[in-house]
Amino acid sequence: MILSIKNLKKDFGDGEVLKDINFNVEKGECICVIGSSGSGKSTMLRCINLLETPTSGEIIFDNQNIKDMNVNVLRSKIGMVFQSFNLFNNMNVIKNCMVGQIKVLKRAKNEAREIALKELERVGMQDFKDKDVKSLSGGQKQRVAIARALSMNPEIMLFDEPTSALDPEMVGEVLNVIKEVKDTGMTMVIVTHEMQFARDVSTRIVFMNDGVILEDSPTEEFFTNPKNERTKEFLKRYINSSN
Amino acid sequence: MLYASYFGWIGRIVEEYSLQILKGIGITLLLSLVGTVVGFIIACIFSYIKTKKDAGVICRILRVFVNAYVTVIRGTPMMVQALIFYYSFKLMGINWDPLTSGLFTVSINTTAYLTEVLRGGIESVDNGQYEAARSVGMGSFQTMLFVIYPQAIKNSMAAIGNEFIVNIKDTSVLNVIGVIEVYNACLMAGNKYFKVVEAMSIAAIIYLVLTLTSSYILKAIEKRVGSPVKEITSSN
Repeated sequence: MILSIKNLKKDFGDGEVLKDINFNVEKGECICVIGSSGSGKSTMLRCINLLETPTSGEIIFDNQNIKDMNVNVLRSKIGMVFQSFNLFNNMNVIKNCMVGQIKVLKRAKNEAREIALKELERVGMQDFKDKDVKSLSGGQKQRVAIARALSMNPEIMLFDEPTSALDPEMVGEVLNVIKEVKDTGMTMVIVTHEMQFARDVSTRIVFMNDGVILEDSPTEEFFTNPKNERTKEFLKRYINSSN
Repeated sequence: MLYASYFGWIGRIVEEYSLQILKGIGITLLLSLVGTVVGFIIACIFSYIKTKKDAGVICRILRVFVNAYVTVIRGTPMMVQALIFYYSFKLMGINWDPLTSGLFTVSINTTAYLTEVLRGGIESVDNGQYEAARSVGMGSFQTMLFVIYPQAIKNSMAAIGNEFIVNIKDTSVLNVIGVIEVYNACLMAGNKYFKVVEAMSIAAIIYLVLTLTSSYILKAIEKRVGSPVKEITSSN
């Protein structure tokens, strides 16, 4: 087990965003977290690398309570991809993929460059390595952001609605890259609204509603035989809207 | 012949005091340049203290000091500051010359303004930049140094340049402690013949040339550094 979340709670002021979240991630699993907006999906994801501080509960990563870990070491082992890409605007494409390696992992420049190039190739962005990030399209930016995260050789990748800010015609290229990364055996947790993608790529689906996990089941079972009433309702709406 | 005598006196003063006036120009530029550079360096540290996230106890204590500093310095005239610094240091037994004291004053003054400029520049950088840097494992200081400040400074280039131009003009108040910069050099030259208008006309032209040239150079620098970095939130 690479990641284990136990009784996770998170309050913002007087609003309870996460109420008692429990779930585990095994190595090599690809978990899609779905649910309506405001259900706490992103907050849960952000608790895993401590971009949000949990109010209570335990998160165990690599058999260690993340509370006891150096936060920068923890984050260097967890790749994060954001909805709005967040590429470093003051660096070109390859430097975006190198800076973390050099400053955090203390890799030599040449080694960092090699790894960055390899990862950029993997996402099909090697030809853009010297480009200014502002000149890229949304889809290209997100692919670079994925390469940046992969360059750190993380043990797990977190995707926070990676396609939500994209124009529809760019969603495909990013989802394809994510699928390819998954096929290399990377452990992933993906918060997404792309139901078809979730069905294609994930091994398990976690369905969240109002700060709790309502359903946590293998992907096919989730789509064909949901147990919870709320899940059924959610899926019905999805099926209706996709027809 | 009023005009003839006006220009005549200007010519005479320039001729007679060209060396002193040139020296004054040098002093004015030195004060503005050193003030802006030193002010910028200290402002980088102060703005870090002001904007640091998850600030610890020490940082929060320093923040109180920085806030008080900025408020006091921005809320009082540089002329008053110059007199206070110059004479209080002398009372404490530090016998410094007017120029050193002037350099100190203008640096202290510029620091306060540039701290606010940089704070604005830092706050204009999208929070996602900060989160992304932290999420690859960079510490708070690394994040500021490698990601936030390069963008914040770029965003603030125009305001920093403006501060330099303001300094060219405002350092004229340092005459109160006896610094002989452009204003004071011209005044002393004019005083010999009681020709204040002529002397100040010379000073005005010099200031105008200095500020126009500086703003031209600064614009060229700004252009080379590139337009301000702004995250466009659209997907393209």
